[in-house]
Amino acid sequence: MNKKKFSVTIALFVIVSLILTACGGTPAAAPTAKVSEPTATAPAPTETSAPVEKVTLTIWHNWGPDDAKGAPLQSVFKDFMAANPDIVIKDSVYVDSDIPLKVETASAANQEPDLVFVQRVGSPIDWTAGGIAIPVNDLIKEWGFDGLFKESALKEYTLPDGQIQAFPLEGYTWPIWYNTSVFEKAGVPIPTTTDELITAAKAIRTAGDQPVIASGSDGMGQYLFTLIMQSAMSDEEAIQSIGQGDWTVPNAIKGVQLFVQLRDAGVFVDGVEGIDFATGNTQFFAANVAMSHFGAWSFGEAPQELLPKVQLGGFPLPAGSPHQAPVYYSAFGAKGVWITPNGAAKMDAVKIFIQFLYQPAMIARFVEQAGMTPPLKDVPVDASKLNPLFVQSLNLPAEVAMTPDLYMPAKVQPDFGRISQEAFTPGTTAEKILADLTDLYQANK
Amino acid sequence: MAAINKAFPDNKGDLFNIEYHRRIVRRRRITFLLLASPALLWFLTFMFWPLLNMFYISTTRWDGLSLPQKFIFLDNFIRILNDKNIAIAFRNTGIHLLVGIPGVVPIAFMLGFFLSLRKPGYQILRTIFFLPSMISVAALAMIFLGLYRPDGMLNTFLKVVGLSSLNRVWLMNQSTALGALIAIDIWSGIGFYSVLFFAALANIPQELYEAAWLDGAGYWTIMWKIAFPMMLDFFGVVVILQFLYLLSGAAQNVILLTGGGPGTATLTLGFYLYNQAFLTHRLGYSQAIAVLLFFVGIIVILLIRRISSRLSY
Amino acid sequence: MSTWFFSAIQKKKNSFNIFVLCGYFFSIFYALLIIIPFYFVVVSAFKNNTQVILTPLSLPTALDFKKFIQAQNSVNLLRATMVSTGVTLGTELLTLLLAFPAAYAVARIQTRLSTVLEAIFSLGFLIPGLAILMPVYLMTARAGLLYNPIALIILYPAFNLPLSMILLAGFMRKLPRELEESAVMDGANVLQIMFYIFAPISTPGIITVLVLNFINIWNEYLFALILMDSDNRTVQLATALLRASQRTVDYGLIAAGVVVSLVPVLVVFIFFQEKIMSGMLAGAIKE
Repeated sequence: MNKKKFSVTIALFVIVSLILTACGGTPAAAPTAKVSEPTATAPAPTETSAPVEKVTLTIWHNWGPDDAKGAPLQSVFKDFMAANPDIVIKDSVYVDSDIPLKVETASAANQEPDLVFVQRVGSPIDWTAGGIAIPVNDLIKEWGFDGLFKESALKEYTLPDGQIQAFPLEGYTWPIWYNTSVFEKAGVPIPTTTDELITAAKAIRTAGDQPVIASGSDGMGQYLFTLIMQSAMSDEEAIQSIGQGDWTVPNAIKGVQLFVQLRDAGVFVDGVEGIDFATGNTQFFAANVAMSHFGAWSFGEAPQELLPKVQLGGFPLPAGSPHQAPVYYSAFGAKGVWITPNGAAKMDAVKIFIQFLYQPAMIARFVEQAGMTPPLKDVPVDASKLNPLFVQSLNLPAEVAMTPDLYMPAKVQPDFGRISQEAFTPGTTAEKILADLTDLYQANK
Repeated sequence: MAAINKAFPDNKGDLFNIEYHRRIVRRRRITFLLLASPALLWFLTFMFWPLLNMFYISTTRWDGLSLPQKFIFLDNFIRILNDKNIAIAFRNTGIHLLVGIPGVVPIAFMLGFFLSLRKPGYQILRTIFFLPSMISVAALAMIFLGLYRPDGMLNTFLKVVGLSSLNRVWLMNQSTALGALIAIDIWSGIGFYSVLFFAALANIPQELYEAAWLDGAGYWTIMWKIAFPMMLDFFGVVVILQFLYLLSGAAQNVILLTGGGPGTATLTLGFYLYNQAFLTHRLGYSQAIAVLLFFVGIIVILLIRRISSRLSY
Repeated sequence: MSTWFFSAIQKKKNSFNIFVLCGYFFSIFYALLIIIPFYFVVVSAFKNNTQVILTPLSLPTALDFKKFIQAQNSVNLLRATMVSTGVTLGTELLTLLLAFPAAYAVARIQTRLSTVLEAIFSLGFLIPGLAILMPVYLMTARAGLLYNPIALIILYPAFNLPLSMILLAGFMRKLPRELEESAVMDGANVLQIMFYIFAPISTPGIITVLVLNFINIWNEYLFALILMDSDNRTVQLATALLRASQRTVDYGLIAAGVVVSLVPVLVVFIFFQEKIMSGMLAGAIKE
């Protein structure tokens, strides 16, 4: 290649890449100021004097345009900024599981956002201890929220020492879905005990359909695994076993054996251990599966034709269960609003925003448009706008079991899924599952 | 003296001139440093410091970026010795390497050689071969989930050809999960390295091949008796690259497809590092694993280098 | 006499050759193994979930571009592709600018320093990115480059330098000494030798390095995640967001994302490889 061509190619390279990067890079305005002065930035954001300075609130969340809660959130932002012209909201969407890492790294350089919408699972549990978020007990009182939040919602964000870590926002129910037409076709009633379930499963298979579908291969399936275990135990025993790793509790052992028994009786669809959440959804929505375990996030995705046939409920109970009715999960840890030290420096603006967001009318938008269970006690909603499944979920003939997210140790959580995969795989004995569980908790002491 | 500024000696007297030699050496050193220092600077800033950091963190107990570090000396390493998972991870990674290197590099070399013959259509083939490397990791995961699902393409294909007895839940079966993941790495590795080999082989002048033709050699002989010896160094480099990829990079597939399961069937060293760092938040321990991988890597690389240089004689 | 020679060789080459046949057979077999999954991705971009899962390889019923539009609206995929492309080009250039002189120094300059340097660089392979996460973040913030893709262009070469330098040095070592010596006789200085002689000759090595680095840069996730914000996402971040934006995975959406991010890469690859390959051929003939 001659020299000219070479140089020209190089020059082209340089020009193209610089143009692209210049187009792609908009250096952010805000960060530079913060870096040199850590916490000592004047904490008086009240611009009392004349020239109205705009305060920018940065918010990180994962409710993007594809999430049902994305649209109501944006509408809340829009209305808020219209009502408060001197506060600007700059929100950014990130993958939910990436948010804690991003926040923690940014925090070390004092670059964290003012507010974070993230779930109370994993490392956020340590945030108030590590100074990444501030406790909100006093704020709840000062801002007039006393008594407005549901007790169960607040409890889920409260540490053993009484600190409340964030404002609860998203609640959810995680019921069992029953396809009534499949049961009718097989000629069996909806089961409320596990014996009935086993009989029903046989009949359903004979009729050509599949009984219970679960995503045995990913993190969702583990919640069915624990739910079934918990159907045999009381909440206290669940805390002892799933929470503290004591797998000698008799009912815990019974729970695991129950699971294996159900599996070996063919209650789960064939190949359940390889099914992921999307496949599970699709197959159930294709309407030849009797039962599934989907949370409130799936209400909006069920096809119209299926809606009248779906009955929500809990999981059937084994004989001798301490529960009164079939069990299901319901919790508020799915999303909370956390305030960071940067946000605390803008407390006045944050206060106005939070008070705005938690107005019943605003929360109602999330309930109506996205089927979110509200964290407030009183949220007037227009019932006609609600998804029928969501309406069902508010009043289930079933009992709430304590969701493992609340007490499973953070270090055990990621690996628990592997054991539940094993459990769904045919051939794994109850003894092996119990042994692996014991090992897992031991290793994480 | 005039000799001092010469680049090469031009009379015998120069060779005995110490000043001349010293000057040469110094000039070489300066040139060397001038050429190499930008790269060195970059490297030291971004790599050397973290290396030290890695060693330091591996001696602490650090449970989260927001929590304080606690110096615990060599406890993390003692934990490694007692950790059942480490032994399992070693075994899984070992299998990964034993299958993933011989299964990729020789085949890639042969395909690369074939490409370098520039038979009609070689450009299209080369582009196709490179495709797997061009897509993002998330896309790869989507493709292979679609393949390996119980109702996915692989099982459907087996059913169609009448081998439905071989149907399995590939990613969740203790005996096939690891193999399924290794297959992904082989699939993408062959294509990628074949393009690389093509680039390297393109430097060999066609006359060498012609001479061999005249002697009556076939392509197979040419490939192994002429091309391969010339490529030995590069071969070694490719082996090292694939080794490094399998050691740490292949963890992405584990993360996205099996999460180390079922049980511990696909728990590899690279995945374990990620798991401990990002999932169970044992940062100190994860860096200890990184130190372990570091030393394993050095030893293996040195070995490969030694073998390839021995072979080139 | 010579024409007879050459036509004999041509005849042999063009006649039925079992090696070439096998070569074609395996190449096409492998190519199919690649094309079928890619076909699956491309058609899935036009389907909804049910179709993707139940009939993966069927042609779409209609060329409905709504998934593409959704992908674009959801994560601004086009912009992410632009950012990734810019970062890749910039990093490739910078890496080459840094690695090439260093490789030349190591391969062609006789001094003990080169072994030392090579050893230092070799260590670089084995360092996990996690170790520098915090220091790099702090450095970037202090430099005022947070959320600016230029930060990535400055950072990535450090990751790619060890390999690039060692590969290039390897290539350059092989070349005959006479090249330099004759140039020096003609009065060329080091820079001229490097640029006008070694660069063209080392093109295969340069291509190798470019190709390898491309993979690393394009697929990098961790630092792009930490250092960029939602306006300046790279392609990896954008497709990850598509995958995780809701609990239910929308395969069609992800497929659309993959297709959009694949097209520019394919175009660049096809376009540049011909330019570079042809230049290389010209260089060889000139010899």
